[in-house]
Amino acid sequence: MSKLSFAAAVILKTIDSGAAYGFSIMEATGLPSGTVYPALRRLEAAALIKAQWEKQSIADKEQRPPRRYYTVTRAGRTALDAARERYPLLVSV
Amino acid sequence: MNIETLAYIVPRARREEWLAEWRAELAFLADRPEARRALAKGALRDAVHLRVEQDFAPGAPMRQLATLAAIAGLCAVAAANAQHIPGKAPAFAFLIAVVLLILPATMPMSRGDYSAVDTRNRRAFFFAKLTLVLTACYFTWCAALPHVKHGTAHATMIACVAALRWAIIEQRHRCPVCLHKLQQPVRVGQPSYTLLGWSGTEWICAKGHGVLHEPIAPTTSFMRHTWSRLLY
Repeated sequence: MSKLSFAAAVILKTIDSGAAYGFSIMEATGLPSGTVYPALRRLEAAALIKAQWEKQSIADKEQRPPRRYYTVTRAGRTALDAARERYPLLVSV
Repeated sequence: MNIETLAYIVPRARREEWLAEWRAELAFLADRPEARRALAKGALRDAVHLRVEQDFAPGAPMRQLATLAAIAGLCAVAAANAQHIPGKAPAFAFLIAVVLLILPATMPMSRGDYSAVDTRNRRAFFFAKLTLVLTACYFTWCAALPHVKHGTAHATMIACVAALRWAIIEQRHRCPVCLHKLQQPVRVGQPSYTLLGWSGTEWICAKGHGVLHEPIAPTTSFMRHTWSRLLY
């Protein structure tokens, strides 16, 4: 997946700038959940992001289930750079 | 619909992790019912996406066919003496030769234009699929022979024609690059306007590799299905 759709590029950029789990990505991008989660699956399958479960101790401290956090991989950064050139408006999102 | 019910849509291998992720997402929205509802809509689409993704992958029909062939093989061994099964192979080969003569009369056999892509994987996938289809047919025939006195040859021929037709049509509707099933068929043009433009169905690869143009009825200007690579 070297060429990203605009929505996927926005999601990748959002993860890169710190929003790390599904709902925070939804809030940051304003995209509906039906777009965000399938896009996360595709990005993960293309190895542009990787997912990691939060430590149980941290979740226990905050009295909630552990979250699945996403981070951008090296291939994801390269794809994001290409997407920035392809979508100039991505900078302002 | 609650999240536990939706989890049944998700393929079993990913179900537990999917459920844990969605429980975590929904947990801190307990006091925000509207946000929770909006998020739950995404859970449905996410679950359907994972299911479709798995069912559309090239491994899905291969697994199903392998299971079918294995079950047919077990039935054949149970129904007939296992030593007799290889002995039926020459007769089955003759049946297949007849089937190959009949098949072009039942469907257009054009190979399609895939000049834009390397089709080695596609061919390997097709031959593997054919092998499994014919193996399943052969074992089913061996299993039926001891029990059915008349008409097994005709029934097997019809079943083989149907199975080969399915294999060919299924192959046409797969992306030649990633071998996933093509999606979103769209009818283009009208059959009565073939002089002015083509009429047929367009299928797209969900991964963005290209578009398949498939004529409704072959015409001199548009004889066979054609694959176009999507250029960005």
